[in-house]
Amino acid sequence: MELNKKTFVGTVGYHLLGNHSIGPTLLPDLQKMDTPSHITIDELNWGPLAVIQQFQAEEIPYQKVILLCAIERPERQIGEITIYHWKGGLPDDEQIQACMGDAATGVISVENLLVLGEHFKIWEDEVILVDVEPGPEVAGLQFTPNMQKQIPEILETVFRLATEELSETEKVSYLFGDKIFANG
Amino acid sequence: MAGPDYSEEMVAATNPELIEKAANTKAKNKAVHGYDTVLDIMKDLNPLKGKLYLEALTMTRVAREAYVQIGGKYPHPQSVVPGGISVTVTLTTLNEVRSRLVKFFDYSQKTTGIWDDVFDFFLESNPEYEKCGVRPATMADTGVWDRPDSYDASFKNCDKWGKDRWSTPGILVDGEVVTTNLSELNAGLEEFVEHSYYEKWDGHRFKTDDKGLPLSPNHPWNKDTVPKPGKQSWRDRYSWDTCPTWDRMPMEAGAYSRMYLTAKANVAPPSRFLENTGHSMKIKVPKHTLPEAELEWKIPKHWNAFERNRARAYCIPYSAMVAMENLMMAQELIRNGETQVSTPFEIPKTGTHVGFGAWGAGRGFLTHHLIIEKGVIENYQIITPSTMNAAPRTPWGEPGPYEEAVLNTPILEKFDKPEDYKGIDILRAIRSFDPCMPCTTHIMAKDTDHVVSREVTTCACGIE
Repeated sequence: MELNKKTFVGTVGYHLLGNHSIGPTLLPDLQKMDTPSHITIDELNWGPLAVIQQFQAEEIPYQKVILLCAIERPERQIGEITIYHWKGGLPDDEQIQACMGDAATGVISVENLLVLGEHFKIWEDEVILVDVEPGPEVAGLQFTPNMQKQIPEILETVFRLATEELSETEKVSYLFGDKIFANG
Repeated sequence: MAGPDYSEEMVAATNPELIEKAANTKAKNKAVHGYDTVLDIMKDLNPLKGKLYLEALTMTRVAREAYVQIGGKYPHPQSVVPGGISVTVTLTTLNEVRSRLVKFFDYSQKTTGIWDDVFDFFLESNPEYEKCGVRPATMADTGVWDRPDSYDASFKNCDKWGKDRWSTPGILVDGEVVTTNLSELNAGLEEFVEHSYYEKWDGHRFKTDDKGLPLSPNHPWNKDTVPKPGKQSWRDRYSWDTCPTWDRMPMEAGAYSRMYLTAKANVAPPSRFLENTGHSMKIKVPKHTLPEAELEWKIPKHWNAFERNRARAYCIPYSAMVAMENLMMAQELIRNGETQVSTPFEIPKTGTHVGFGAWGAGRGFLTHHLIIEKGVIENYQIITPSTMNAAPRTPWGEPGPYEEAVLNTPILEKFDKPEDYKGIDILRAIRSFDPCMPCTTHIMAKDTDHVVSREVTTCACGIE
């Protein structure tokens, strides 16, 4: 257990898109968790620019940020949890400006949030994604059974990462800002 | 968001011949914005690092701080409820709003001065820019900003309370006001799907409104949304957008439409800060750190990309002074002990009820059309500003607003090879309606494989 590391747990994703909405749908469950007072839990769907300005306004910056999201990726099973560690870096200016355009339009995208947060230097020590495989995008309120089954593990993973140091035994992949929008 | 299109970096890459000219052109409004030449302004419009670009981001925070005093949060305000708002508004609340609002007094002068300098420079440098994004000033707007002494939310009185709004609802056709009645605005609406991925619906349930005005089978109250995905065909169906029209004409929408209509119609209530002349809007901006000033937005001869953006800049002082007017009104009400912020409202539990919501989004015209049956929503149709602007052709072949604006735009960009082409003239034309739309713009250079594209992506291939 680590002590008093100011932490923000945020959910990112559209509502009403089935498995893709795992973040915002689980927000009430996350907020019911018995977490210490230095951990803030809230949604982060209200625009990267507003998020940046909120983070900039904090007298003491968040030292750790955990983002719960669901991005469809190849070769994963629905409900599979992957932990990504954001390693910083930025795409070219044109791509950053495109992220700004998307942000101003209201597009909800964890990649946009990561890149713009990096550009405006709001990320301090650690940014970790808990990314759950949603499978194909389907409209609706319901999760598929595979996703439903994973909910306890998702909540446990977020709680563990928010309250403990990242263990050396934790299986972690890495995200790089200069490659996040690369094709391929 | 339109600023980078006119930045030094973009102009140097697309029309380098303008850079030296900009360096030698003195800015007319230096007294309010402090820049000596047009090139100095353009440098600070550079994306991500220009001072004006970064200042614009900062000002979004100031506006948000003002808004959340009453809205709770923004976006997605949590205090707006049917019949009013759910917060207690005190003089302290209003003072908090005011302390943010006054920052827009100086910013208004600065922004309008900057854009007047930049756009005058382009239009004087090359008169062909008049054609960029040009189309007739044929627009719709619902008006916004109700007055508490007039608004009663009834359809019966909507023409009266609509005209009492600080921005006047109505229809403009080729720059002339056709109506300022909300009921006529509603009755003239139709939505067509001949070039969209939807099935045509059957039936004509509502033939007139409550005032007896005739309604088309294509009116939103009669509409049924039936998606019909299919192959894209430019002759047949090519859009998920529908084609809204008023009196069978495609309509443009934008924040600027509300200023154009209000200035032209000249029926808005008297204001301490705003004066409509029929050909312009005069805006008295009080002193903050800059001296008091009277700004004047004039209805332009040609309705093009530059004038849309210029008008949008003038919407900053217009909106700020309406906010100031409302703030002063609220202070007077509270001082007089009138603190009610909502009217009781209950959803009708029996019978059929037809409703029409007319309000302006940040990008202009926005209508909601509802049918409630026995307390349950049976049909809910929305026409957004982007629905209007991005509309495909009408069933009679008339292009939608973006389409028409792009078709009229000359390519003034300088490039040697197709692969160097950036499409800036097209982007300026489209972004003048909606600065963010090129996120989904694709331009193909004829007879080549070169495509200028910008699209929203969720690709996550940066993973290792």
